[in-house]
Amino acid sequence: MIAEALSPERLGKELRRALVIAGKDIRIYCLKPPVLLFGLVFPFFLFLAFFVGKRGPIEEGIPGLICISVFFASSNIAPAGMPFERMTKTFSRYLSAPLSLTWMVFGKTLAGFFFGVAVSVIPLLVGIIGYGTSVTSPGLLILALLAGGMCFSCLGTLVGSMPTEAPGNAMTVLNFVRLPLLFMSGIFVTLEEMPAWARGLAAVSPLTYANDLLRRGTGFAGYYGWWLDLLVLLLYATAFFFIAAWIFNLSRRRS
Amino acid sequence: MLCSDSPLKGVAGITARDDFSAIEVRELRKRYGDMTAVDGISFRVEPGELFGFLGPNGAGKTTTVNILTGVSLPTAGSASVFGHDVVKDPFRAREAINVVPEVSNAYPEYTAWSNLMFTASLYGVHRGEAEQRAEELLRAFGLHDKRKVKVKGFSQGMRRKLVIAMALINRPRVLFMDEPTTGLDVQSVLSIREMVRDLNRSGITIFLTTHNLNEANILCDRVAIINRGKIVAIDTPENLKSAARRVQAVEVSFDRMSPETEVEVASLAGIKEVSRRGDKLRLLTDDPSAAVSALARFAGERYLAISYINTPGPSLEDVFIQLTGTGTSTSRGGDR
Repeated sequence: MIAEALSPERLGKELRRALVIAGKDIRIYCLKPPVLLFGLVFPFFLFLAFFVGKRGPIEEGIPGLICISVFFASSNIAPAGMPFERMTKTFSRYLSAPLSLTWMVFGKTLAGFFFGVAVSVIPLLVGIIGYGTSVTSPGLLILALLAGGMCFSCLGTLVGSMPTEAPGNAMTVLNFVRLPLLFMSGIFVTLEEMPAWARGLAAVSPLTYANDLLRRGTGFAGYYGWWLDLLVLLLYATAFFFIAAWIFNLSRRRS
Repeated sequence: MLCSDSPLKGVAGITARDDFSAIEVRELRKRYGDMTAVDGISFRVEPGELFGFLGPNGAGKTTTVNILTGVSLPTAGSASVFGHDVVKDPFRAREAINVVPEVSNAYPEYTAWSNLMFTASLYGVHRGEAEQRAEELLRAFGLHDKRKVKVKGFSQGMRRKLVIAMALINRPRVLFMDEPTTGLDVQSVLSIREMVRDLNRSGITIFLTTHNLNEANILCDRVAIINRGKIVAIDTPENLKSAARRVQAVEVSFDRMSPETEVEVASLAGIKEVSRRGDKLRLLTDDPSAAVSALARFAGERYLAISYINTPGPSLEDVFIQLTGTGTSTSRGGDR
C-alpha cells in the first residue's frame, strides 16, 4: 500500500487534487474582507507609517515592502478560509475525498503561496516604476519570493490548523504571531544597525531571511549568505507544514 | 421526482458485484476521553442494499458515518468499503464512496455548476465526462435553469438536491446519506425520497442515517438500531416489527377528545401505554380484543362516539421505543 501511495500515478492524482483545492481557495477567499484588509491594505499602511516616521529614503525600504506584502498575503488565506470551512462544514469534503491529509494540507498551502507571490508583484512594480528599484539578481529575487511565499503560507496553514470555526479567532492568533515576527526582523531597522541582542532576536524571525534575500536580489547588501537565507526559510516552511499536518491529523483523531 | 430520462438508471460501473461486502464494520470503537461514543459495533451492508441506521440523538450514528467516510478515525476496530480498509487504504475506500452530509455543504460563493465541477475534480473525474455528468444531474434534479446561479441564493430544498447531485458526480458505489430530508418542506421530502429509491434501483448501495422511523420503514431493505454506542437490532423493518408483536397497538378516535380522555383511556384495564397522534390515541396492549371491548364500554359510559378504530400492529416506532427505551424525537439536535 505504501508503494502504491508513492507511485507516480498516485502522486500525480494527489498533486492535481491539491491544485484543485488551491484554485478553489484562491477564487473564493482572495476577495474576502479579512484577506483584503490584513493581506493588502494593512501591510501597505504599516510600511508607510514606519517609513514616513523614519524619514529615510523610501527606495531603501522597497525590499522590505515586498517582504511584508508576501508575508501578510501568503499567511492570510488559510486562517481566513479554514475556520469558515469548518463552520459551513465544507471542510469535511476534503476529508472524505480520495486525497491524503498531507496533500490536502499542501493544497491549502499552495493557495496562500500563489496569492502571496502574485501580490508581491504590486510593490515590486511600485519600486521599479516609482522609485527606480533595480533587480540586480533576478534569480535571488525569484528565490526569495518563492521560498518566502512558501514559508509564510506554511505559517498561515499552521495557524489555520487550529480547530476553530470562527475566522476572527484564527486572524487574532495569526496577528499575535505575525506582528512580533515583523518587528523583531530586520525590515524596519537593518541588522547592521541593531544591537547584538536584537540581532539575536532577529535571527529567530523567518522574515529576516526573506528580507535579506530580497535585498540581495534588488541591489542592496545582504547580512547572511544567500544559501543560509534560503536554507532557513525552507527549514521553517518544512517545520510549519508538518506541524500543521500533525495538528490536522490529531483533530481528525479527536473528532 | 426524477425526470423520465434520469441519468441515474443503468449508471455504468456501479452495479458491478464484488466478493466483498459494500461496507463491513468489525468491532468499531470510538472513545472521547472517558466517554465511549461507539462501543464495538459490527455489521455488514451488502452491495445494492438500502441500509438504514437509526438511533436517538447521541447514539453514535454520526460518529460511525464520520469514521466510515474518513472524517474521523476510530479508536479501535476496523471498517472497510468494498474490501478497502478506511484507515489503511483510505484512497481506494474513498474513491468508491461519496457523502450527502446532514448540513448542505455546497460552496455558497460558487454556482451550482462550479460546485459540481469542483467536486468532480476532487474525485478525479475527467473534464469532459464531468461536464456531461453535471448536465445530466442538473436536469435530473430540476436545477438546470439555476446552473449559473450562486448557491447562496438557493432554497433549502435546492441546496439539498445540489448536494445530492454533487455526491453523484463521481458515480459512487456507496452513498452515505446523513438525514437527507431533515428541515425540508413536504414536497422536497417526497421528491428526495423518490430520488433515494431511484438511486438504489440504479445499483448504488445506500447507507441512510435517519431519525425518521417512517422514512426508514418505507425506504430501507434493512435497518440497524444503535443506542448508546451499541447496535441493539439489525433486521428488515417487517422482521423487527414482527419481533415486537407481543405488544399490539390499537388506534382510536372519539368525536370529542380532551386531555382527560387520554388519561381515562390510559387507566383502562390492559392498556400499557397511550400516546396522542393528532386526533387519534395510540394504545399499546397485550390483548387488542379486550382493549377494543374496553374502549367500546368506555365510549358508551361517556356518551362518546367512536369515529375511528384500528389495530394496525406495532410500528417501527414502537420497536424503536422498546429497544432503546426512549421516545422518538422530532426535534433536531447534534448527534455525536
